[in-house]
Amino acid sequence: MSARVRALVGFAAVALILGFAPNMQESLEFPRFYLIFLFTMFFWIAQASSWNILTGYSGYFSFGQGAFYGVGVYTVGVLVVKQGWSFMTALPVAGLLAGLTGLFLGLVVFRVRRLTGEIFALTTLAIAFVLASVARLSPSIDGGTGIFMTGTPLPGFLGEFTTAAYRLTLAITLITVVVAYLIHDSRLGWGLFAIRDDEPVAEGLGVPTFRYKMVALGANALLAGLMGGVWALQLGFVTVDDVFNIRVPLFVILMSVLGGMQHWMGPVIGAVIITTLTDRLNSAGLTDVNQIIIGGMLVVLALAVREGVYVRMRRRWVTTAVSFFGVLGLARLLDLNDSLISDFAYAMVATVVMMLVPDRVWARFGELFGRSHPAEEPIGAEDLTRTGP
Amino acid sequence: MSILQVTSVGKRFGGVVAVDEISLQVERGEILGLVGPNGSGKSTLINLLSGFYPADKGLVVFDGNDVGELAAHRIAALGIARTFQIPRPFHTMTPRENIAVSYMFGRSPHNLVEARAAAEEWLAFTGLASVADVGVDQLTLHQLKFLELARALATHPTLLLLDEVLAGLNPTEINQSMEMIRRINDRGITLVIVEHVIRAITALSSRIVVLDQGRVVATGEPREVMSDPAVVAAYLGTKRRDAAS
Amino acid sequence: MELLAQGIVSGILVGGLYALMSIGISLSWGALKIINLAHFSFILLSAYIVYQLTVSFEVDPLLMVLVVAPLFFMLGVLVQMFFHLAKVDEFKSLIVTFGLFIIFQSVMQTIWSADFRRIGPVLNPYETQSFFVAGIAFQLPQLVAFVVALLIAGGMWLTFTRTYFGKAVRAVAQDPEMARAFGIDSRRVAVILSGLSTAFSALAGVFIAIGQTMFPQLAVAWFGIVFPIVILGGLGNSLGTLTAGVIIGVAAGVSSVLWGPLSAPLVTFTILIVALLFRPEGLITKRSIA
Repeated sequence: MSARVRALVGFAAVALILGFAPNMQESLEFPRFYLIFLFTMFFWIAQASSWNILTGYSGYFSFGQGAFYGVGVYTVGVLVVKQGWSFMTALPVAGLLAGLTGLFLGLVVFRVRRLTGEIFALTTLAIAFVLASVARLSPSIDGGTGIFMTGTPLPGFLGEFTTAAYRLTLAITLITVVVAYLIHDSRLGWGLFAIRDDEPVAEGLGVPTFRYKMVALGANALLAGLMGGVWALQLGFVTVDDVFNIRVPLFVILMSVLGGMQHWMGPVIGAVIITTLTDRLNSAGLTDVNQIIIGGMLVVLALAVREGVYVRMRRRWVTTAVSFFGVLGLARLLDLNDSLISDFAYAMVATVVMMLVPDRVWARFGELFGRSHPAEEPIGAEDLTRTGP
Repeated sequence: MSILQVTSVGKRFGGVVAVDEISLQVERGEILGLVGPNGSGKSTLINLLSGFYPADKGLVVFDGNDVGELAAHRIAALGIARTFQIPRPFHTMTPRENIAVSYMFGRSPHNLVEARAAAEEWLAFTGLASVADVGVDQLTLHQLKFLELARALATHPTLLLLDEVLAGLNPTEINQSMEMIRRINDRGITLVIVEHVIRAITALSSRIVVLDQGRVVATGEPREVMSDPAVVAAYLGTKRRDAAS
Repeated sequence: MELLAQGIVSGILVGGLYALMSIGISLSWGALKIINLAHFSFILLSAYIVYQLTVSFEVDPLLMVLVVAPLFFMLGVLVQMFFHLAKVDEFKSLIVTFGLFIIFQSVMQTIWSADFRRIGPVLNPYETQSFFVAGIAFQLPQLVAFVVALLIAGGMWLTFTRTYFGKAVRAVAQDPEMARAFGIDSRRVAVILSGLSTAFSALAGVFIAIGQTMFPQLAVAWFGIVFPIVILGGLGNSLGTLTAGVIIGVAAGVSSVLWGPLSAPLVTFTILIVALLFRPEGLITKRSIA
């Protein structure tokens, strides 16, 4: 069985387990809150993974995630509430419109060869702002009044409303992660990596750089829009200020920078860690401090761990396993918290802190204890883990 | 029949004329040496031929195709590859991956599995097998130059443009590189080499084209050309002094 | 017709304020290769500080220039020293300063809350003052901001073209290594320039405090105005930034008159896109840093 088939079987298994989790809720007696927590986590995994297809793979830094997400939210809002479409027909349109927004942006910015990545970044920063004013201006979209999203009918075979919304979110998330995974090990992915490292050289070796950048941006926008469309279901009340703000781009950047932008797993890991932490901070009533911590993490991570924690976790897998399961087990044993999520949060923080130690310091530390970890520290090809799991 | 036909191409950057007007042809299977003082337009010509930027005027015909207006990746697909004077490896990739990604694109599409296998061949050909899986920042200049070669070769070119492969190398490395260039030519690949090391270029080239101030000043057999008064003048700068007086 | 003329005049004047908000970012990007998103917070923070001092001590808000300018100069110096220590390059600067921006935003939100803040008319006599020429109103705060922007842009232009410091800045911008080889203390030049650009942003904050209602999200809304101006004007080009500010200001002013105030961002963004397509190196001049 090739690595790709194995991975896809793995994805299918995860899909089945998580997809039927709502059915097992009663027999396993876990609180319903866990499902809502997972729901949020899926959303961020999908957003961060789709963002990374463009920014992580091709190196074109985008602040436009909020714009694509917003197009998705508003398309579903307008079509379902104002036009009376069914949700399942509105959702693909949401993805499509978001994708077209991305392609339009690409046509403008990628056509001009002299434009730098920095100008691309700033243009994406401006676009959410413009879409917000379009939505505010146009009464057929929002007109400044907002849209009530309650009681959208969903297909019956998906279960009752919350369960159906959960499963739809899971489905879009899996599609996004699988797409990110497939691109990572494909010609497209390697072409994008080459663009990230040196675009003119890549072009000279035969990489169709313009087309590839357009595909990456289109895929990013489309997947972000689809997830936005599903997320509209649980927003209740859709307003311009809530949808087109800096939150979505901020969090996807943070998650991907934390997890690592070179590998498809980076944003997934990053999203899991950040959603767990913010959930705990919020439930501890630290909502105000939350943003300060997030901003601080962004600064520290961008400067300290350029390759992201995922690469280091693979390299120091023994340490990762020991610190994660050690802390998790300890927290369980000592019964520190009333919530399993808190235990996970402790374990994640412990692991991330271990990963923050720079490689050189880590090697010294190993020598100090008279033992280095040869299995953990292969300097060389796998350092960069471009080759997939 | 010539593989490459360049007819009165020109390129200026703002007010600076980099290539005034150059016409030349490259015969199939030969090694054409391109020499000239600094600023004579050698590197600009390489950039024009490989499609890094479009020419302002003139015609470039490669293998019967007008490539003057094509994007660089299309030119690569037709069979022109190049190296850079200052090596520009993909820095997040190992040498093996650098070669593999080039093989995946280049003249014909290949998937990752094929590319990994093909990389082996070019690693062996350029003698980089021992450093195949280290980070590129650990390679010496000599190795980086060979990686440039391997990466260009992996695209399966019929015409290879080498921009100062020998610059910065010591005499032993120069000899190895010259040997390598001959072996590439033995595979039936036509070469255009830009070089400052006169000893190497006279030994390697079947023909030499001398550029000065964006124009061709001489063409012919290496020994003839190097004794041509116009060439001597170009190198010693008498021509410019004449023009000034 | 008169309304349109008013729109153009207000646009020109408000363009001065826009330019003032953009010059610091433009200088930092063009000369230091740092895209400093935190400048948006600097502007707002300065505005809040002016507001707080004015309200607490009941002093003239314009006098606060004397407080915030040196204060933010120091802040700019510190920030640049941090960037230098942390070896922040152009790409990293986007992420790092985005993080700083978020921190500043939260701090301001914690201190001054999400409420609207405004200096009352008693303490702020400037806000309502205006005079009329041929039936067109010139509002005093906007006029003063425009004059200050003109002075700064002209002053920077003279500095860059005439003085040793200006030449040093241009040398550092082109090639820091080479500049160092010629005996220019590129680190000191960078620190001073960062201090200046931060002080300029603080000045913009003073006029925000005098002329507008403040709330934390205001800084986010500036992104859409300032970046088109910075790109249009040419990176590091102060006179270009001023011209671009006026162009954007007039476009926004006229579109507000014709299609309502909410249309302004659309128009400015359209200008940006057209400019990117036809003159990506900047609308005004090809030479940066002037």
